Amino acid sequence: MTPYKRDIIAGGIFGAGAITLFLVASGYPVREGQALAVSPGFYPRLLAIILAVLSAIQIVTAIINGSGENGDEDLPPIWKDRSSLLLFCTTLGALIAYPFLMRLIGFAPTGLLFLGTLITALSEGHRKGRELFVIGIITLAIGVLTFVVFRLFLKIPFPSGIFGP
Amino acid sequence: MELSLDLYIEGLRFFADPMMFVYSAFGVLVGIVFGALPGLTATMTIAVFIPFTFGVPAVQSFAFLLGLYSGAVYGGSVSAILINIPGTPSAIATGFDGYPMCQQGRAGEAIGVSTIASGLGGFFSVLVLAFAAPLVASIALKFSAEEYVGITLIGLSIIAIISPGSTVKGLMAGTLGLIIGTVGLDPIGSYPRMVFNTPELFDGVSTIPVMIGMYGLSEMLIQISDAKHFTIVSQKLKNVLPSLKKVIKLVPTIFRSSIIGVIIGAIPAAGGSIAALVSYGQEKRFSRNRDKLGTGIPEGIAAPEAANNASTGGALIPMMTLGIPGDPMTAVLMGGLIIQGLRPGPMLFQQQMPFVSSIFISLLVSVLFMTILGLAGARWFSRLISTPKRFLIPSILLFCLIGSFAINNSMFDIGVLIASGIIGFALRKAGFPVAPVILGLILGPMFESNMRRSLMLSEGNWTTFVTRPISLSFILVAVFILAGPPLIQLLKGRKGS
Repeated sequence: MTPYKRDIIAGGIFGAGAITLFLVASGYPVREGQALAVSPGFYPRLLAIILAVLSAIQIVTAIINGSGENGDEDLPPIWKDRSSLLLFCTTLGALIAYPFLMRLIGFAPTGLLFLGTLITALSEGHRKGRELFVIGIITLAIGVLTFVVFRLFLKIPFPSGIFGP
Repeated sequence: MELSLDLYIEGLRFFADPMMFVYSAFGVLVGIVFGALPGLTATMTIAVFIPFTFGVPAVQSFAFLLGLYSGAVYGGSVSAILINIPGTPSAIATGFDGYPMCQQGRAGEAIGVSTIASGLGGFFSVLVLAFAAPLVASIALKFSAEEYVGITLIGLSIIAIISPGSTVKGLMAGTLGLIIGTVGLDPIGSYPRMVFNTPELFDGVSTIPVMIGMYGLSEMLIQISDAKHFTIVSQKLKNVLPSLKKVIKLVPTIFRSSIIGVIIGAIPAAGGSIAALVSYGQEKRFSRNRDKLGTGIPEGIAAPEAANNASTGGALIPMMTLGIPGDPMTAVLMGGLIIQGLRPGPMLFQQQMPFVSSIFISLLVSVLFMTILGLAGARWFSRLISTPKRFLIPSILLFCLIGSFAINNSMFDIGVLIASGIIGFALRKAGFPVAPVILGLILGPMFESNMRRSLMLSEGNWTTFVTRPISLSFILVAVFILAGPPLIQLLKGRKGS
């Protein structure tokens, strides 16, 4: 994708957001006899208009610049390679699963599972024999340290799951 | 309003508790560790650690946060010198002479000079902060809602300056932050806006999870997507402590650069990296060894390091006295004050003076710890650079999750963190800066409530903002900041054609 195409798409998304915000804020009440600027919908609508104008400027600028000499130069890909995409998805999956798992199995086991999964996933080329043992030890060390600092020292009331806190 | 000796003594009383020193030293240590690691900025470090200060008394939490602040700004120089990758943006200029010195086998000397210059620059900035801040606050006490609208506008216009590349993109990101700031009950009539029947949103979107998401989480996601999680090998150090003779020779450079650092730090949006670059530029004009700059001389390290550390105290002046964060780092620090129930601004000086003076003393203590730990632990910090990121990234991600939960003990805030992280990642990949989102989110509610309050009192008359001279001058400054650079460019273009 070229930078200009990217800017047009981004401008379009922001523009659509601005229109949605304007419509939502138009439904907020206006008290009779009160200045419009004091109503709860005025400020969000003002921001929606500003965002819409900026989005339009962004799109127009991108169209003008995109038709120039360097208009077809490609951007670097969002993910460097297939393995980066896979790692990204694994990380996102672990992040989303974290709160649900913490409620289910408790703070300490979730922390260990989270660290173990991600450290193993990021340790491409270091997953044999002794290296796996090192991953296990480091996961356990960071997990225990986190538990001692946040649960025992700072006393943060994490939810208790089926395995306790 | 003056900061009398009695008030300093009241601030000093907090330091009778040894935990103040423990928090400060720990903050400096963590700050140096994170600052030294390439890719982990000082802003991100503070954002990730703020939630853990929530249950701690305000004075101790700020001793820790200021330790982080000083430590991280200094820590950036370690990797700049050893591998020519600045750990934080403010260490960009340090590598100009630091890395050549490292290549000549003088890495220890370079880190020693950097530590001494950072310590002296930081010390100078504390002195200026302690004298200038009460003066600015006493003037700001006379401001009304209209003036605050003007000041907040200046704060928001900074977005145009701190946006690298496209100003329009920076303004769009800032508007996004302002929009996120409107979520919740409206500040005047308490009408629920964009809450989607979610009780957690009635008080608005929690600022800290958004900050951690935008800085911490999105940065980790970027490092994973760009495959930057591989190990870097560091170098060994010797002769870290510079001789007194060498330090005395550097005093003029350090003094000159400290003045530049404090002044630039106090200018909203300028920050440590500009201070470091400007002072390096001044060194090229005034130094006796100006011809040798860039080849690996101590002056080339002392100038940017004194300046970027001096900028820390300078940057706290607008944040503490006016409640306007001048850069992303102080915006995040301001979040640390807000979660303690304290609102930065002139009233803080009037109502919480012992706390304010404890902040000045905390900054001084953190500078001392930074110098001691920097010199004593240089060999150890240099090894940090080789810490494999495959262990570091998951640990930071776990801190982000725990930190977001810890603020309100709320799973909803973890959702806010993940959503902000994904939005931050998408914004950065699309070439949008994330700092304006945070500035917009912090300044937005303040701007709206003051604007609507002024309009209510003036019965909807907009001229109220331009009929008061101070308010008008603030608005003009904001307009100049926003429109100045494009106008100058336009005029230059016309001259050229």
